[in-house]
Amino acid sequence: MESLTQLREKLPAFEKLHVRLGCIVQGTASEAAEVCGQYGMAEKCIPDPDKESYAKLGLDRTTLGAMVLASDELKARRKENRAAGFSVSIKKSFMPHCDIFLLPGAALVERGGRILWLHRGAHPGDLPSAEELLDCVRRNLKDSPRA
Amino acid sequence: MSVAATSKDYPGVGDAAPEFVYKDGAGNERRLSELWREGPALIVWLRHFG
Repeated sequence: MESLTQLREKLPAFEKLHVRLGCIVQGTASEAAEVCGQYGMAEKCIPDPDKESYAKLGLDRTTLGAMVLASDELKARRKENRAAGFSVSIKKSFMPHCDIFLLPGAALVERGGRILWLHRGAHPGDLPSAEELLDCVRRNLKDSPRA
Repeated sequence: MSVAATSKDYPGVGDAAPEFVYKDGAGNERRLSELWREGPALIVWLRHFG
């Protein structure tokens, strides 16, 4: 859960920009509290055991082949995460409500609900880093009258 | 990195963000839209717990 760790480190920066953060996870409320709590992010995690919001956003599923035969970008992201001290937990990956093939995504939403920026993951490692997300927020809110 | 909607069936930039109702740890019904009711929000859909 390197994303949660990175996002937690950037929380003060997001708060300074008056942006609320929500991290949707594939699990029940109790699972989210347990796992996200380990990263100090229990209050930011939103449980979606049925993956309903993933479907509504149109997030795709990857294939076993794409995971095994990783792209150069995915390999680089994995290497970066290992270097930062993160490792994949097989046990957590296969928790009851987790779909390991479901791809990640992110959206910046302005006050009132209009999407300002959207990213749908194209492969398993395709989620911008917290720093990239922060830059994205800065860029997009600068031009939004409803920010 | 930023993309438009890949299908008319799904929201894209400029569209309304998807609403989603969930239950929090106390069993209360909550709405995703609470996050952007009073200001901007960044929503991240994580892959899995691993």
